[in-house]
Amino acid sequence: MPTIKVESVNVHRIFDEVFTALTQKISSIELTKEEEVNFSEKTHLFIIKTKGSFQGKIYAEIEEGLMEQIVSKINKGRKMQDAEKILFTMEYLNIVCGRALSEINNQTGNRSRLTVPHYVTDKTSEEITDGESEMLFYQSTHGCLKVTVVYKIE
Amino acid sequence: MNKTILVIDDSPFASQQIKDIVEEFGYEVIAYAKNGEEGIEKYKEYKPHFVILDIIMPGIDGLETAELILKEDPNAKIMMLSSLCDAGTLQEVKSIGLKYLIPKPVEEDVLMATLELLEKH
Repeated sequence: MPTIKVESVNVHRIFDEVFTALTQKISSIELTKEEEVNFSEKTHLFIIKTKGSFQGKIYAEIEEGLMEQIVSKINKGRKMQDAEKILFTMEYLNIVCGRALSEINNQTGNRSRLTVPHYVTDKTSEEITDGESEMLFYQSTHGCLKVTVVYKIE
Repeated sequence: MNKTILVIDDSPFASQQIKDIVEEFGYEVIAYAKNGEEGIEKYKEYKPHFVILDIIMPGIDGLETAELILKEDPNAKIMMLSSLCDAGTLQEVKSIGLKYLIPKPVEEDVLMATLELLEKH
């Protein structure tokens, strides 16, 4: 029986569902979707690249309070150095973005892969690259999160 | 004597999570490795009963690491682990002769059921 491929994939919906559901599951933190957010404290920027038929970059900018709360919950409150907090956040994003990409792969019948997330120390050096883009904004009791997905589906 | 496990994953979160789960059930995490090259060396050194191996890592990926471990020991009992758990990734795991791929975040029941299956093979 031939495989039925979904021609248009709702990238925005897939990432939204995965971010809210998995953040809740992993850290018990509820992310509320917003039209836009204004960051009021220090933020951290991570980039995850994808390659294959879904080619692009996922930029995740997260306020420090939210980041600290997520990693504290997933590490069961154990004390962590700053460098460890970054590693734990990278794994959180790896899990969420991996799940989203798995869904995209399953829907398109194509193959795409993630790279290891990258922590950006100099945010001024990063420019959002060209392509289709989806932006997601989230508010929580601990801080805000902005996710930008820039991609091409080949 | 406890059955021993080598965890090969660049994420301290995943490694800690696996340790917390398996040690409750009487397994011992005998060693950790943060990348494939280190993982191969630790496999040779510790000869664990099982290997839990992440796919996406810096350097050589988990699939290539698994192939190199199997070349060293065709009877190695390896379970793959990944945030990417689509049909294509499972097919890649099977193409190198392995049977088990579990998703991240690791869930206790999935991990333990898969370890039991791995033990029987």
